[in-house]
Amino acid sequence: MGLAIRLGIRNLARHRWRSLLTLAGIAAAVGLMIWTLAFVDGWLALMVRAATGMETGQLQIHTPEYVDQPRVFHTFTPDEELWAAVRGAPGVEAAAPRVRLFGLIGNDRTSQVGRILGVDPGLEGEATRVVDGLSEGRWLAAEPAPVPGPREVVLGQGLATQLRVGTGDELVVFLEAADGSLGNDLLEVVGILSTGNAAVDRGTAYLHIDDARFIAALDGEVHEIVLRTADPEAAPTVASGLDGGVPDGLAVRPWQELLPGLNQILTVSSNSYLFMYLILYLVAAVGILNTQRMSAQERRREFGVLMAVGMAPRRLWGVLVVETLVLGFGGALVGGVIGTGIAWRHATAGLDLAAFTDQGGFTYMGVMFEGRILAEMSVQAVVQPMVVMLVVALLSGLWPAWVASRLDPAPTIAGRT
Amino acid sequence: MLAGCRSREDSRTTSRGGVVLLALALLPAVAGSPSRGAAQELPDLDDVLDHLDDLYRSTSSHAVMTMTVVRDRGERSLSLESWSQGTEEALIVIRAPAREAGTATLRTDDGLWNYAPRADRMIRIPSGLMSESWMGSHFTNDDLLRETSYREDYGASLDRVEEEGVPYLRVTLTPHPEAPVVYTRLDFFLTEEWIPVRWDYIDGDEVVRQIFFDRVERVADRELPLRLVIRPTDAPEERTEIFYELPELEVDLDRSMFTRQGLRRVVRD
Repeated sequence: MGLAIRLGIRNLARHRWRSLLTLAGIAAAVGLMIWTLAFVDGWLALMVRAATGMETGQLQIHTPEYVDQPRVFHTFTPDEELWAAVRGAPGVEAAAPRVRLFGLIGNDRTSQVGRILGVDPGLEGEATRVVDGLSEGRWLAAEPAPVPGPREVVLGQGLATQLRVGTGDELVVFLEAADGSLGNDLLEVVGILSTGNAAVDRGTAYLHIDDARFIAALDGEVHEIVLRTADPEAAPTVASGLDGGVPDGLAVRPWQELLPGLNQILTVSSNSYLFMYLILYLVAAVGILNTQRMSAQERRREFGVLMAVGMAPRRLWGVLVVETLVLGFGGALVGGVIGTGIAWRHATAGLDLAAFTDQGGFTYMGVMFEGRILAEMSVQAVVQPMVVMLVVALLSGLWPAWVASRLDPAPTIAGRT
Repeated sequence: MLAGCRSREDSRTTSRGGVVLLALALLPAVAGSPSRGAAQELPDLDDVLDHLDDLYRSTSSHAVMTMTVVRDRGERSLSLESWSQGTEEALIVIRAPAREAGTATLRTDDGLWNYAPRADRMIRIPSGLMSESWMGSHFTNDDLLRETSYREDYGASLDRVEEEGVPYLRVTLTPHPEAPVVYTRLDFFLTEEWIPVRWDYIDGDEVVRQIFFDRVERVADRELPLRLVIRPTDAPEERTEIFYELPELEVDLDRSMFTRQGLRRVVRD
């Protein structure tokens, strides 16, 4: 084997430029593939984070009626037992109660229909990363502001802009309460959110859950419980594990069900890897095939002599396959280093989206892409393209080697074929 | 000019459309219409349209009423008090139940506001929310604030129809393409005395909601149906009913009540 590798390197070195160009092609394919994987992983991770991490969470619990039609009166009252069951479930890291309302928010100049989330400030911070999205001011205080002071509200950036308010400004909220009456109250903006989640940033107001309950005439009830799991991918498993544990036939749904569009995009995107592999590696494979076939053709006499002096066809075949593998391995190594280098740079410094859009950002599937996107490095993203390239190199080397190993020595040496 | 004394000619020349205050706005005024009672001969279409436009043009009014909203989850009753002045100014205040008492809607020529008593603040209702429910009822904000004129924004026709043996005058209104109307057709059924009986709001080929008028009483110089029932046809078990207990017309009002300060005074009475 050692001899075969040495032979392979020597043979490749005989046509240095041709070998180097083929190697460069392989390296480009591998490097590009590594970068693509890292970038798409980063992009998808950002989508999952922005979509689930900020607001949706990985799992949500509702009444079946609320799932059917989200109305203010479709509530449930979680007891200690339910909280214990939910928090104790394997895979669940945090759980938070929520009151979910729709109402008119504004002042005497303008108003907007907004989504009002009544949250427990501490628990919400554990279950989602919404607090990280604060761009101005502060998060809700742990205890509601004393009556009759204005109630604290944290607004999405877009909503704040449309209402032309900032921290310290007052707002009025009007909404239909659970008993059909009209709740109204005075709010004071204490913080502004810029989370990257379009639904949050454009149309959501966060209130302390006790304040939201007061306005909506609710008494200890919630519309949903939001859960964070250790692994977003495992959410469906956690959901089915929880299903038996929650009473009253409450509906436990993972984010894959809550955000079917996002889930679909993830599936499609992970399948799009295959197309990238197909395109990039097909080109590389044709290059390898071409090089090796040509080189074998040139060395027909040499092979004929080798076989005439007793080299077994199988051995010759092995030498040629190893030669291709050496070429593929070299290319994969170079491509791996370069691709990892570029991907690493984009994983740390990020890729400026301004290069692609003149608006400086865009919204896709409810996720706002702005500023820089960070690629995400993983062992798989680096190793997989290299290993797959070795397999492709092996496959592209088989045919030239097979043809060469079936030479008939006598006419080949005589130059009669 | 003394509040509340705008003449009929005056209002015809200065206003088109204008306030539809839930209160007397929807209270049809039926006094003094000419050419009534000639059963066989159709009245003049323009007269009827003017009359219908005038239904929404009270010179000034004050009313106390009960609004009952029936939804699939239950029934809720509100006591309301309302005032209107001219075609642009109107105020409705919820007096009971206690939880909502003081909640008010103010309409001036600048726009429409809700007053939140707990916050002691006004909140503007943007024009995009005109088709939204008013105070959780089946009335919309737009019902309070009609900006169209039957005469100018609709093509109209008048005929006689019979339903279950009862003859009606029927006014069919088709909005002009540029008119800001969400319905494709309105059918108003009136008695021979031009008293409204039923209004059908039609979208496409479907009646999407209906307003029924009944309990006609004589108020001042006119015959007024004191009860309105609005029913969305897609939820037949639901309805909003308004019953006028104490309607007054042509009353003297302090026009300052249609301002923020005046509203607070009225609300806190």
